[in-house]
Amino acid sequence: MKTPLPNRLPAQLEQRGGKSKRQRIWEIIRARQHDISAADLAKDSKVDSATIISYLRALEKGGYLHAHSPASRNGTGKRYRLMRDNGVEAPRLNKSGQPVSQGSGNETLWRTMRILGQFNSRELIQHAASAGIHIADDSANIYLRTLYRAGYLQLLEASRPLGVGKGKTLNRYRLLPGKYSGPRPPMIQRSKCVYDPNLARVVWQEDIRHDDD
Amino acid sequence: MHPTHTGRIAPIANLDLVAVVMEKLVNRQDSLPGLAVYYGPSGWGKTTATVAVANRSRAYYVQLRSAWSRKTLLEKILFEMGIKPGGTIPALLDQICEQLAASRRPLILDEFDYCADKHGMIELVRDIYEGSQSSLLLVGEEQLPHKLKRFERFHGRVLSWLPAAAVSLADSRQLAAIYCPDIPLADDLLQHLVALSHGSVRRVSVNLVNVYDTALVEGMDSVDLATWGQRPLYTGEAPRRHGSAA
Repeated sequence: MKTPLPNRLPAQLEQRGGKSKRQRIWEIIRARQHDISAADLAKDSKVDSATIISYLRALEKGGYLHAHSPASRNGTGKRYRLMRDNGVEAPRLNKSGQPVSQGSGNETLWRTMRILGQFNSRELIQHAASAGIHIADDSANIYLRTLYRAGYLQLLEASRPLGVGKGKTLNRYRLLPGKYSGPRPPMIQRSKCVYDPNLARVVWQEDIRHDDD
Repeated sequence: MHPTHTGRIAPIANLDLVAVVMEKLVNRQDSLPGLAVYYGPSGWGKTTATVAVANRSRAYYVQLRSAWSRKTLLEKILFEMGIKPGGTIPALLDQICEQLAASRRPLILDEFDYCADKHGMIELVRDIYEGSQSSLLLVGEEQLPHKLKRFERFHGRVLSWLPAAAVSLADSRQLAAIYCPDIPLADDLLQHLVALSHGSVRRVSVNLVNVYDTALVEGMDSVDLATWGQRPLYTGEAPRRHGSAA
């Protein structure tokens, strides 16, 4: 059992860019520290109560929150206090409170691009593998190609054939220095557009093909 | 495409060394210092090791610039944390310390040489360290430990001094798997590349790419020193003038 956090006013940490519902909930939890209830969160965050309740459950199971007073018969829900601080980032948990790693592939690619400056997809995959993070060739290639089309990357060396049956070299890219928008990796969305969470906007959209083009 | 190369990256000696120390820093007892300084000549694989550490621990990575003021440094760290900066220097410092302490993610300051002769900057980094009790990895050139010696209060807090290791034959075998895949290279050739490199991982890698391209173009199935012959290799020196050139 961990002891509650010390009684002090936390420095205000607010995430830059676009915020998920869970992020909005988390920031309010962090600011309040004690005596947190689903009803208060709903009022302050404007997030729907189903999301709030499922996130509170996950946080409790994950040991981030402790319910200090149980739900009572007169209709007031559980009240929680923050037990484990995670900093500004909302803990990414599944329903049973276990950390989820989904999305860590792109985060690793994005961080590695930023540190290396120049790279091809194989180098990025190898660097990720050395940290125990496995990324498929296709995912890396698609991510790079999309970032290139969205204007984040510059093509330094285009892929060239190596001879019959020898395959070809890989495209070599550079992350444009002004394009590092922040630590969160730009996301490719299902609708074939790129959303940059650091900037909180869609930065690129595939041209719409008309039938008569 | 080479679908077979999803294997592990060369676990070069540097990478293991730094990863082990980082592990030690992150999981240390509360009373122990949590600062490490990783230094060595450029090209000796510091970046490779740094990337691995950053990815493994989700560290905050900031590369310093000579023009930065104290405030810029703090703002850049907060940018890396994705936090809206709070305004004054003390407020920024509080935010950073709190985020480091709460997230337990390490902070990596690369090109720390830019900091190392400015008293105010050193004190500021010490403030971050003292305020967060977090793990800090400072990365810089060979002269970094020497420069830091001037700041005794800082110097005494460093738990580990990590000199980057020169590239070894074993390292070069690992690098060959990445940069020259599917073409076996004889040890005499690798030994030659290591000798030419003067310790630099980068030079070995550049030459491996060079060997790989040549082997594919000329259709070699494997390469040893004799096959390679007098073909040019990158030595890091300016190219010599050819006697016959007009």
